Parts: sequence; C-alpha cells; structure tokens
Amino acid sequence: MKVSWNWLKRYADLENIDPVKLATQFTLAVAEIDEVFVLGEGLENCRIVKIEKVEDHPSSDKLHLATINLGNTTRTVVCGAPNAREGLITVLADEGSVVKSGVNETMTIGKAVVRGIESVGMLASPFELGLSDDHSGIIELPPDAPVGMPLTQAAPVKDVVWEIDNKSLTHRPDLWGHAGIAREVASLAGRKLFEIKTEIQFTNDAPLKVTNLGGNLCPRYTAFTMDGIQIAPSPLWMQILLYHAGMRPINNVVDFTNYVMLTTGNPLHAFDRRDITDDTIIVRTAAEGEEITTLDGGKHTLSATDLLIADSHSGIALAGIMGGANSEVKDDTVSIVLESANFHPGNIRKTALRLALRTESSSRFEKSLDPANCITSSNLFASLVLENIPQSRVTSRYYDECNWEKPEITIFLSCDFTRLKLGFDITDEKIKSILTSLDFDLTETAGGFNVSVPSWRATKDISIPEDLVEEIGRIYGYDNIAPSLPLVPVQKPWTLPSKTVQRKTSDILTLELGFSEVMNYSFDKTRMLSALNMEVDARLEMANPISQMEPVLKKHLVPNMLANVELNEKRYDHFRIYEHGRVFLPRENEIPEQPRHLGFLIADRTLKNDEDLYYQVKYCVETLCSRLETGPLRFEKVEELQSWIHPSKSARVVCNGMEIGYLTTLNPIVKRKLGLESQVALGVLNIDTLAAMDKKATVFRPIPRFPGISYDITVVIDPEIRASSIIDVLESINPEIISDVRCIGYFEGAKYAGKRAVSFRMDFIHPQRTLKQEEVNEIHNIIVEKLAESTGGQVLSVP
Amino acid sequence: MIEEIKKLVEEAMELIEKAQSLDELAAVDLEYSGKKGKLTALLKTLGLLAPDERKIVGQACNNAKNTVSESIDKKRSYFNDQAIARELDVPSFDPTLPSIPPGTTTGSYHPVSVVQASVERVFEQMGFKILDYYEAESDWFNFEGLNIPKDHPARDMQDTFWMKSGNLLRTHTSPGQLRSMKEFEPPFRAIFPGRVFRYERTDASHEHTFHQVEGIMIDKNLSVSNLIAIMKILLEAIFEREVTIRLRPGYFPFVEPGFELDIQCMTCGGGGCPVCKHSGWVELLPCGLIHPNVIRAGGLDPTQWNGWAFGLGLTRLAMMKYKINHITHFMSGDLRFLSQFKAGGAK
Ligand SMILES: [Zn+2]
Repeated sequence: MKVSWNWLKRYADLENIDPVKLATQFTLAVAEIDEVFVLGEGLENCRIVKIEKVEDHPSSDKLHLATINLGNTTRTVVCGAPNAREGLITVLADEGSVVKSGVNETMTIGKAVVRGIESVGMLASPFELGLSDDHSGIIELPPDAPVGMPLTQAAPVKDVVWEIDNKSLTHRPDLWGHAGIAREVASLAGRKLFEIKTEIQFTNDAPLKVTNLGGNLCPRYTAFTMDGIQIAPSPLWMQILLYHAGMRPINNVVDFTNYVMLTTGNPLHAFDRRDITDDTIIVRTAAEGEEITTLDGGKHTLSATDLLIADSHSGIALAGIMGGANSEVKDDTVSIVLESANFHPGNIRKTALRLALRTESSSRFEKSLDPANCITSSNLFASLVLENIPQSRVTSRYYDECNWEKPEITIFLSCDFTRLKLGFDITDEKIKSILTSLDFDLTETAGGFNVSVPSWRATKDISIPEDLVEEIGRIYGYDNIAPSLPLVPVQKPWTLPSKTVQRKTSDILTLELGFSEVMNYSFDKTRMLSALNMEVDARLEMANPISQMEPVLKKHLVPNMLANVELNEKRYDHFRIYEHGRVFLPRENEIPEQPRHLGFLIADRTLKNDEDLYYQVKYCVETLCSRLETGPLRFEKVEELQSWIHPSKSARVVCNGMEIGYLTTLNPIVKRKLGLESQVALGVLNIDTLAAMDKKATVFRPIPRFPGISYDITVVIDPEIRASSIIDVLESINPEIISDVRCIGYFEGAKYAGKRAVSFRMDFIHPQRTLKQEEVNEIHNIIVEKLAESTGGQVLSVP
Repeated sequence: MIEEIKKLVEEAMELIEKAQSLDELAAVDLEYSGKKGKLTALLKTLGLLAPDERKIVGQACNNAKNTVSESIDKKRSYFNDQAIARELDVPSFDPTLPSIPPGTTTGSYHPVSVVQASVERVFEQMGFKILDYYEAESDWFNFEGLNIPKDHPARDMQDTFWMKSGNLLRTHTSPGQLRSMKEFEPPFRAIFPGRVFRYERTDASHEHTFHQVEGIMIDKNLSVSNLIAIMKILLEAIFEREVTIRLRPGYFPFVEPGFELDIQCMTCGGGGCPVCKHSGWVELLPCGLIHPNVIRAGGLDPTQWNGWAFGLGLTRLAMMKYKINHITHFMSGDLRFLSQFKAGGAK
C-alpha cells in the first residue's frame, strides 16, 4: 500500500517531522516499508500560468506559440499540446525545473530554440509534473487556480510516499487507510491525532427500501441518497493525493469513494439511483447460477454462497468486490445511492478467489474490517460531496441495517506479565501511555489495567493479553530490550537415534568411502516410473503436482538416484553418490508412513562387468555396519524384487534376524531401458531399523596368553554353494578353538572344471595352552570331513 | 526376375533361421540388404527393364528387403532377450564372497547438510534436542493446530502442495512445534531441521523444495529478551563474527508477539548496497513467543507454560555462506555442483 505523507498530515499533527527518517521507525514498530519515494523534487520553478493567446508557429503545423501570463509578466513559449487554448490555466515548468521524461527518467528544462524561435520554460503535462500518467496534453487547472503562484505552494505536489509491504498489514484491518496509519505515526512521534469531524444532516425521507438478508455474511449495510450531483473532475489536491497513493483519478464521485477508502480503509460504492429498480436494495445470497456483469465488463456466474447487492429486478453489485455494470455512476448521473457496508471476510475471500476478481475493495474486506467504521466513512463521503459539488444535498435518512453488535473486549493486563514477557523493566506509567496513545481505554486495577479494545482493533486483531504485550513492545521499541539468556535447568543429554545413524553414515560415506551427498525431490518422475515398470500409487498422488512429470510422492530413493546417474555419467567415468531421505508409504486414513532411508550407489563406465561393483558396495555396507556396531551381517537372497534389483547379483542384508536393507547391481533390463552406459551397483539401508536396533557394543577380547595359529584352507565347491554356508560350517565345528572365520579369496578356471576354489582363514587358539600339532591335524580332519559331508566341498590345502 | 527375388528371400530366411549369434545375423543382413548386398544389386538393374515391369519388380524387391530386415530384427531382439535372460540368471554368482574396497576418492557433503550440521552443533551445545518430523503432514499439524484455521488469509502466503488424500506436504517446519510438545515433557528445548515444500515455480531464487530449521523452547517465563539473546548467539556462531540484529513486528498466526529478525548487512556493514537493497539490513528469520492457542494445541496449559520459536532457511543460509546464486543447484544432483563442498559442518 502506498501512503502519502501529505495525506497523513490531514489526519495528524506531523509538522516538522522528517518522513524519511520516521520510515525506519515505522518499519521497526508497525509494518515494513519497502521503499520511500521523495516526490516533486525539482518542481520549485513551476508556476501556475494563464494562456492569453495561442498563435500558429510560423514554421510548423503542429507547434503553437502561446503567450502566457505569469501573474506579473507575460512570455511567449513554444507549445505542441493539442489542448493549449486561450484562457486555460496551466503550469509552466520554468528554466531549471526537473520534470519526468520517462518512467524512471527526468530532464532539466532550459532555454531552447524551437524551429527558429527561442522559448524559455515549457508548458507541462500532468505526467511531466509527476501528477498522473496522462501526457496527452498540458495540465488543465481549475479556473480559480491562483495565477502566478508556484505550483508547490498551490498543490501538494511535493510529497513523500511510503510503499508498505501489504503482507505485513494482513493482520491489521485498521491500517488499510491513511487515518489508521496516522494513528500509529502520531503514537510513534508523540503527536496529536486529528479526529475525522463530519456531521451530516440526514433527512427523514425514506425513498429507498433497504433489506439486509445477508445474516452473518453482511454484518452491516448502510445507505443514503444524494441529489444534485454533477459529475466533474475532483479537486486538484485530491487528484494528486490519489495519484500519489497509486490510484487513477476518474471523476469527483468515484474519486470521493476512493479517497474515503484510502482514508478510513472502508470501501464505499456509489450507485446511479436511476438504475435501481423500485428504489429497492436487497442484500442477499445469489441464486445458484445467477449471473452478473461487473463494471469492468466481466461476466460472472455465481454460486449460492456468493453475496449479492440486488434491486427488485437483479444484482447491481457483487458485494464487497465490485459494482455491477448496470448501475455504475455515469457522466450524466445526478442522483446517487451511497453504500457503506461491512461483509464477512472469509466469504468475500472465497468469492473473490473463485471469480479471480481480487480488488482494492475485496482485499480490504478480507481483513475483517470494523463495522463501526461504516458511519464515519459515509459521513466523510457526504461532506466531500457537499463541499465540492455546489448544488448537491443529502436526500434521505441514514439506512443502517445492522446484524452486528459492537464487541466490548476488555482485557486484564498485568504489568508484571508484560515485563515478564518482554524481559524488560518497563514502568506501569509507560505501559499506560503507550496503550493510551493507540486509543485503548485503560482503567487502573490491582496489578495492572483493564484495557478496553477500540472497535477497529477488536475484529480479530487483539483479544488476549499477549496481543497487548506486542503493542507495548513494538511502540516502546524492541531495540531497547537488552538480550538476556534464559536461566534454565541443565537438560539430560539425549540424541535422536536416527540422527546418530544419519550423522555416522554420512561421515563414513563422505570421509572414508569417497561418496558425494545428493538431495533429490520427494517426487517420482513419470518417465522413471515407466522405465522402472512402476505404477502411480493413487494414495500418494498429488492433487496439484508441480508438473505432470512429477505427480506422486516417492516410495524409494533409487529411481531419482538413477536419474542422477543419467545426468552425471556424461561427465564422470566413475562416481559414488549417496542420499539420506524419507520415502513415503501409504496408509489408510492417516498421513503416509515416512521411513528414513539411505541409498548409495557406485557408477563406473570403464568396467566391462558389474560384479566388482557389487563387492565394492558390499564393502561399503560392511564398513557402515561395523562402525555402527550392528553385529554380524548375513547376505541372503532377495525375496521382493524391485525392477532395478538384479535377481542373482543381489542380497538382502540381515542383522540380528532383522532385514536392514539390500544391495544389488542394476538390473540389466532397467539399465537398457534407461540407456545407461555405466555399470551400476547400489545399496539401500533403512535408517530407522538401524536406529531401533540394539547395538552390539564392542567388547574387548583379551589378547591370547598362548600363541595360536592362523589357519588357511581352500575348498573346491560347486559355484552354487555360498561361501557363507562354508563359514557357517567352519564356525560350528569347534567354537572354543576356531575363531574369526573369514573368506579371503576365490579362484575359477579350467583347472577346477566348472567348480570354484574358495579360501578361508581363521584363528586356532586354545584359551589355556598352546595347541599341539596333533590337535591341529585332528581339527583339520574334522573340517575336511564336515565340509565334504555338508557341502560336497573338497579341501585342497593342508595345515 | 520375380522368381529370382523369391529365391533370394528364401535363402536369406534360411540363413536367419540358422544364425547362432548377433554376428552371424549381421553378416546375413550385409549379404542381402547391405550396400553391395544381393537384393540391393537387383534393385540397381531395374533401369534396364520396361517402365511397367520396372514398377512391379521394384515393388517386389522392396517388399523382399522389408521381409528380410523384419526377420533379422525379430531374431536380433530374441538374441538380446536371451542375453538379458542369461545376464539375469547367474546362479554361480555368490553374493557372499569377500568384498572389494573401492579405491580412494574424495567425497563431499551437500552444502545444506554442512550448514545444517553447524546449526545443529550450536544448539546441541546449548542443550537443545535435534528432532526430525514428517514431511507429509495433516492439515491440522501444518495449519489448524498452528492457529491458522481454514479461510485464514495466512494460508495464501504459503502456497501448498496438496495430496489427493487431503493431506499435504508441510509448508514449514512448524508442525514440529506441535509434535515436539506432544512428544516431550516440558520444559524442553529443541530444533527440527528438514525439507519443506511450497507450490511455486522454480527460478533463480524460488524452489518448491527447500530446507528450514525451526527451533522452540518451552519453559515458564521465557521472554522476548531471551529470544533475542539466543538468536544473537546462533547467528554469531553461524557467521563466525559479531552480528547486529534488530526485531520488527512480523505477523505469523502461531506466535504472539511475532517478529521478523533482520541482520545488519554483512556485505556493506549497514551502509547500503545491492545485497540489502540499500537498506543496510537483511531479513533473515521469523520468530516470536508461541501463541497460547498453539501451546494449548500442543497439549500444554498456556497459563503454566510459554515459549518462543524461530524459523531459519537453511538453503538460504547455504546460499549466503557459499555465495550460490541459483537455488535450483541444490536439488539438481549435478556433481559439478555437489563435489565442491568437502568440508564437514560442525567445528
Ligand atoms: Zn548491504
């Protein structure tokens, strides 16, 4: 919202205050000022002049020579404006004036020789003077404008305008007009606020029939009639103020309604009374499908919840949003009905949103305006008409159809509570003076004040003591509150278990295993879903997806990570990425389950074969788990195959009987569909499962007192036999002596005729004594026998 | 002529049938349809024929070429499927064989993680819990319970991703205020970092997915003065320098009083520059004392307990820290961007 300082000065005593400086204070105490514009600079040399004579330029068809009266002298200037005519009162921008020459450009007026004739100064258009967008001709001032007077003295052209961020006013219905802003400014500056004094004599005539059937959709509907209207331009000062506030002046009646709206914040609407059938006004909801054409020419089909202002025949205005085309004020209007009303904020908002018709009016009613303001606004309008349109008069009583009772909100505010909340030692006296300056009514009571809230702050803004604390804090100035740390008990140390797992795994992957962290969107791409042969799950579908390409929440991290491979394999031969993130699993009548997953992936386009990558990812899984102290892992057959999982080259990772994740090389079908050139292997771990698991804390194993031996064997087995099953056998043989069994390598080749030679290493240690060679031989024989028996394996090596 | 074509096709079909490999298939293709292939050679002799005959033979010749290449394609995809099937069925692959350490390379953290870790560290050192809550939320936790009823204009300010189920993607980390109050006994203090979603088009400075951290402290008698003190500590720890901050009124339905916290521009030191739009101040984070309605919605008695809350954009902080000019880099997955951030977050 644009706020004009000259406008504010009409409603508060603000002499000798620098509005540029005050803007900062206003930002800190009330609402954010986005920008401060200083207007009318460089117009000091502009004078009001009268054109005495207009002659043709001797060497131009379009230019004229205008002889102008400057009050005490005359001068001839060259002028090209089509509206230059004898008797016109206009403005001369004399030598040295700085006028607008473009949206953000200015030019300085000097002497010029135009087609052989010297001309000093320039007759200026409203645009050039910064008073409107109109540059079709020179400005036309009213006939009684004082010829010879500097323009800056005759009209409020020099001004400072604050552009206030509308978002910071959403919660303050009272600040949508200059009078409300003036109250805040006066409070901040310690100055007096002027009352809007307007006493209007309404008649006892009742030419209208006004019925308010709006119920709670229309808390208040007031109206009255005025006759003797003569449509003409509004006074220059008002046109200038409106323009500075960002409104285009139209004509006196429209400008008066806008002026009142921008003063009190309450939108008004003027109807041409000739167009109101049967002089009847009914506030009612629309019939489903009822149509109205608004005065911007828009045709709207209404629903039964939209509120309509109607006459006995049809709708004449879309309540609180825009007037109807059928009843707008026209150039020959002589009699008007003036509406000053209050509407339900939520309902106005709903209608305005649905019809895509947000107006100055609707955006104000949405904020919960004060119904008490209707009367002030009516009166201000009437007084403007009476002052400025000579034959005008009020011709009816004041219709006031009210479904509203002025709320009496009284809040007990404890002074200690205020000090406690602010954390600052503010005096009772200061509390009182701040609230009083904002027109709260205070009565002293034990420990504080009973604060009565003025109606314009009572619609939704202020209802609890905390709201009053804010009033005191902001006017007092938060800068005056010294920071102080809270004195609180020590907290028991505690860390979210999943956080610990996430932190550790991130560090291991980044620092030890050389992975780069990625973050992907929480949505699945349709392209990926189809390549991966997945369906869109309706329970996870977005109602308003950001694009049809990403319509649904993801159930897995992997699809987006495969898209990362597509992107990066063009530039990197080998890379490793990981992602921590939540995935989404639908549940009935609840928000989705959202387990935290960790995905990690190695891609390498220099490899012919993906098997090494599998064992590298397996290495990562083992490293992660050993550092998390999960205890021993088992790699078992994957049962639930996602499309990207390779049916043979994959394993689910089981720990303490719980599945914690899986690893796999990329399924070749998916690889081909995506056109990937890299070999890819990946792992996924469920962070929540890992976090919930009991940790197998490392327990120190005493250094053996007796020397043991490191024992290696190589077994030739069918390739379908898993190394892990050999380990199982070895571990079961003599756990007291055999420990730390691990697979250390394997060989394939013609020598083994389709079989595989796999080597294992373990320690033989007797806790009480050194092992004898015979004992070792005996264990060896048992091993040979057991392996042959249970796996058909043939042991090659000897101890 | 036609007879000759027929014979060539039969020959080719037999060879395709017999082919045992993709290479053999390619040889058949070359022999019949290649540049110097038999069918191609026939086509080249068409010029010698009478015009009406030329048309008939030309067509027959083309049909023959098509027939042959269709068969070759069919057989080729059969071979491909066979190859895939062989690739898929590898019973001899032993997933339990010893692992292979991947060679050393230098890893990296996501820049948001770096910044998040340093924020977490600051708060952990002050006894705050680090929590992590849902991204898909109910209307109640994201709006209603936070004092933002239906039809409230504040809903306009946060364009929302809605699910068909009626749930939504959280527009801020604030649902964590309610969830933490329900989860922990007061007094407590906690922060909850995480991703949030806004329904808006992406450009240099807008993303529909970005990261925030929210913090709250619940106790008896917490004040604005306490909030200012903690915020100053936070920002000085993050920026590793002394900072000047100011509070101005800001409206958020879930706090009362509510503030916007500005930090004095670190680029110009407050004198005014393009970064701060010549105001000397940069808007950094919203904060305030938690509204009694929200305390109540969290299951606590607002006459007993109060608290403060703040929200800080982690993505924005990372942009400031690393001078990243385009917000869409963060979720791009592009290693040219991601691999630049080697340093961990906490110190
Ligand atoms: Zn700056």
